[in-house]
Amino acid sequence: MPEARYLYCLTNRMEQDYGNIGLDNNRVYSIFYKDVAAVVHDCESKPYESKNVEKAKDWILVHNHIIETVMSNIWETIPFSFDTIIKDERALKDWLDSVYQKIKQEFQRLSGRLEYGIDIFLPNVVQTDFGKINSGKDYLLKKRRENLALEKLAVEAALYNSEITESVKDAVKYVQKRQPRIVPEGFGDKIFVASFSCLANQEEVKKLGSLLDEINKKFVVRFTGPWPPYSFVNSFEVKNEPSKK
Amino acid sequence: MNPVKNKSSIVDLLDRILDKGAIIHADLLIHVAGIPLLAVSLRAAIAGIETMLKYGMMEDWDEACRLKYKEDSIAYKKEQLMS
Repeated sequence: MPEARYLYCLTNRMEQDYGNIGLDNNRVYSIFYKDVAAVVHDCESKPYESKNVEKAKDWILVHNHIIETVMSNIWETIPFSFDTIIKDERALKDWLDSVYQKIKQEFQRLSGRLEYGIDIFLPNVVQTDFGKINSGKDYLLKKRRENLALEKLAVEAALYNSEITESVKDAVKYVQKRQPRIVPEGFGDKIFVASFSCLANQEEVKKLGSLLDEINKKFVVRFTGPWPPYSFVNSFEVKNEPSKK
Repeated sequence: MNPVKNKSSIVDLLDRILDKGAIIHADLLIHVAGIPLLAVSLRAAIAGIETMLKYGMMEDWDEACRLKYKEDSIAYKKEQLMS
């Protein structure tokens, strides 16, 4: 029987068994320590790696699906990154013992809050019709004009960035600026202005909604969520050695 | 405006699941999350390398890949010399 444990999340939900819904249909269940549950599946002592993009994509979706299933938008949940594997149950319990108080503090901080994403773009209004192209020189001139117009828009976007950041910070307590690494589908032709991850409660989500309605009059806004609070548990780094018992 | 969510929105999940999330002391782990090559191949497949380069999003991975290639080449040459 495999000794290692693949970790999905920590939670205060005391459910024992979630069924065979894990990566590669593994059985997902809880290992309890006091009133904290680590949601896991049993696995070999090696990381999940694949050159098959579809398979890897599926793993990512399943990893998130399980955390969302556990969370059900009610329970406090600390999500782990993909491929976090601990060597055995004993090591997990020792670790939980050593960080129990920190976990409880995290649950308190996360209570009633979920993660939301905000991406803001300027519509690309660069005029590309600069007349008929008769020669290579015309083409180069056209490209140069386009580039100059785009540069101007980029400067404009940078100016709006700080203004928007301030108003988002006024609406919600926990905010992180993001640099998205992939442009969402349908947004490739727009000028990136700003992106945020917010850890927000219902009241803050309403405030954000009103603010984004205003911003959406001039910009193109993408408001996503709720997500498990991935971006807000980074501080949950544990440097303590596990207790020796 | 209300938040919306596409259940299979891999674009929104990649940055979060591969780069974020809770961290544990490494001694206990079989593997710490964040496999650079998995991340590169996934992101490239989804976004298209061209888009990522346009937005300067591949630079760090590009560097990591080049380094890995260099290391692999050296290892391969060593193997060849040994055999």
